Amino acid sequence: MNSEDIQNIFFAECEEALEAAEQGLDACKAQTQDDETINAIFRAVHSIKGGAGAFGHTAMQTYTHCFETLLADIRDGTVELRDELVDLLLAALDCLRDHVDAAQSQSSPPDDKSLIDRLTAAQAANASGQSDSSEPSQDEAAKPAAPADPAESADDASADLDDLLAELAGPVPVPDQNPVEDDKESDEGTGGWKVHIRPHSGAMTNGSEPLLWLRELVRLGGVCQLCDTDSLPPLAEIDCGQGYLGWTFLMPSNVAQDQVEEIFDFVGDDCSVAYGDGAEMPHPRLPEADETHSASEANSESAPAPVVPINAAQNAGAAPSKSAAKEKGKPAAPTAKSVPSASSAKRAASNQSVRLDLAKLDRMIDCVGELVIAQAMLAERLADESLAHIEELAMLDNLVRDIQEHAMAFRAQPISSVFSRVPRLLRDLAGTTGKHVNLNIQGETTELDKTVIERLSDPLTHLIRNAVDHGVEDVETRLAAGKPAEGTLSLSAEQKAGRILIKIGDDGKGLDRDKLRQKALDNGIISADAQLTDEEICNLVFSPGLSTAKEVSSVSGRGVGMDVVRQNVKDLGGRITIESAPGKGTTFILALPLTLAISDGMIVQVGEQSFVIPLAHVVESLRPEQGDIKEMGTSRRMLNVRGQFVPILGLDGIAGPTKSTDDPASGVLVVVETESAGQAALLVDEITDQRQFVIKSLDTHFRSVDTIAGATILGNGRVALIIDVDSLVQSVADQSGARAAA
Amino acid sequence: MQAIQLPPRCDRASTNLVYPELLEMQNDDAIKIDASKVEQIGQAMLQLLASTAKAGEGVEVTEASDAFREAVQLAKLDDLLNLEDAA
Repeated sequence: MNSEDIQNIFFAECEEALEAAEQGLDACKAQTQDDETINAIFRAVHSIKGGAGAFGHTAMQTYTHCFETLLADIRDGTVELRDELVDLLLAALDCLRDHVDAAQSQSSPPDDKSLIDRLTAAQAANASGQSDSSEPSQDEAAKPAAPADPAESADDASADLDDLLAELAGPVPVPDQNPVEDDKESDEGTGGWKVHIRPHSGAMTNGSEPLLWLRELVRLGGVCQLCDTDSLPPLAEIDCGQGYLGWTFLMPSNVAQDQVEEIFDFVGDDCSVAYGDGAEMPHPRLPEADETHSASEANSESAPAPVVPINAAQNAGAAPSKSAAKEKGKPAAPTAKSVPSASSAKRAASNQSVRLDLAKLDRMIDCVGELVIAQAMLAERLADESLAHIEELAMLDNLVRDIQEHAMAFRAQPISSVFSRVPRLLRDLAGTTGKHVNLNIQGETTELDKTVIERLSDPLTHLIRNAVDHGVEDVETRLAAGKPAEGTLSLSAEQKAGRILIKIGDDGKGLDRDKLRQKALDNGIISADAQLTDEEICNLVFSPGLSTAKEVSSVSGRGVGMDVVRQNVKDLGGRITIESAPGKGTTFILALPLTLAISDGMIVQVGEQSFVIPLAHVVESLRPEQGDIKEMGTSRRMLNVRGQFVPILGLDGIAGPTKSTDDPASGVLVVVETESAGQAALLVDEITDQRQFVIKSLDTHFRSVDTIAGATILGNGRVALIIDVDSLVQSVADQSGARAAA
Repeated sequence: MQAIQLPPRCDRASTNLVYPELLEMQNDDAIKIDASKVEQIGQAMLQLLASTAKAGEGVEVTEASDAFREAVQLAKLDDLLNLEDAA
């Protein structure tokens, strides 16, 4: 794995961290937060800071340092989390996202000076407030290196934990001052607790440097009491790659163990750390002594070391917890423990996932696709031998289906990764349009294929911008209409009939159909005598000519017009429809496939051609009686399905010159449901099979064809076209409408 | 007395380069270490110097840069390396 791969992992983790922080701040905004909420936000920002330093994103590192300093104070209770502070933190998070985006796109970092000033001011205001009190709190004393101004914060950042990573290849910084002497005096009277650290060979590889950890301990006020050189071999036997030294530090009693543990957050097993005065210096992990030492370390982990207080009167011998460190004079509970056991337990609990290169996953999905095809071929061969119903084939069928579903699940991601960006978008829009919109999200755990999620982001963003910019009225208009001053945007996702439905709705003024129609007329999109239904008029918003230059360059435009939105959704195998009521709002409904690779379908025969009808559209299949067929005019036939008439569509138009049945009574009618054009009955010669099929894009292998969603390979090795049911039924409905209008 | 000048960057790679030189220099005399050019130094080099210091006549740091001095003090190896005598 090279540094670029590692950095890509960092950016992926940034996304997760930003999402977690956003959720946490949303909870704060809703005043439903607890201690863990603030902790989670802090961890998210802290984690980004660590990576930023490691990969040399200095501006981001400096910014996150300032951000996390304020968060640390909030976490420690020294800064009260008021509503206006939550707003500031949300703005700070937005800026952090900009930092991450800039780092990822290798562009200039955002201008964060104003936010750094505000973050620093928020913290400094607290600091000055505390200085007014007659007795400084222990919190203040415990707080390490809180920056007083941006410049100081930048300096401080260079000395923070994450510089351990930032200094991967750079020179070890020389601190301006060594607080050892000052702290030594202050600690002698107040007691303290010990921490023993033993870096191993890995601590000196990959750019790590144990001395940086020592420097961090010193920065927290630690005093090095001992350098253990007992394990140093004679010069002739030394291995420069091994770690032979160990150090014992005396930490001030007002420094919590958590603070020291944070220094070793990213260290992993490369360094053994033991806390508490009773703990012993961990053994070096040398090649010949690996087994012995790991055994002895395991023993020491299973039996916690006794704690001997340095200052029995204050009982502060053990590493204090954070809360204990904050409460002056209150004895801290002895918590001597060995970090390897604690941190590895933490890691074991949190690392229940594996990061996987997407290309590897896609190769596996391809193989599953081929497996599905091979299984279909095998079934075909066995059918030729009259063995189609053997038990083994059914087992294989079930196994292949299981494998396919699990493989697809690997690619599935919750749509929350897209939805989580919306609050920030709304904040931005509030700034530019002055419209404050509340967000109502439902179904954010609904899972979609990763590719769908990725390609959904832009269309969704555009629809939301449009909703706020054009849909939601300004405050005066809303109040005059008897609506709340703030608009509401509703986002929902649900799985329905084998598809994912995503709805983006606003409670604005709704589409003005008269205006829309007039605009379409002015732009030559429709003729003056065109008879359009309400739905057709609404769909005019997707017409390319209707996107004016002004719209594209304003809030609602990112170079993506509504026509492109529809095309994007269509490219994903989905459809977009509109529901709009004047004065009540507009809802865009996106119907998307669960996956882009494998689906269930009904294989039908039309003349010599085989087609696949995606099962998600199929309502029923039937062989009608002659009396169920009604002729309408010379070219249209309707099927009476329990009192409801649905149009009968032949597939000979897409099958080309082929001899197929024209008599519904002698063929089979497959009743299908569409998103926008209702039901229709497709006339086919016969249904030959129903099975999973692997979707191969026609765009990739041939070219885009209307009414055809793709192609697949059947069990007999032949290619079958997959019918785009929505498009087919809609196009026939359009033709019928045009004929009727003519 | 033999002398060796430490490079500005005393990381693990340079430690591997210095190591054979120190091995060759080991004899009855203390090895003189010129650390005046050191801009950064890590544990690998420090423990190499510490091991050298513990053997035979030890080492004598003739000159030390601020960075070297700070790192040695930080690692509490100043006594072992006789840093107080260094210029």
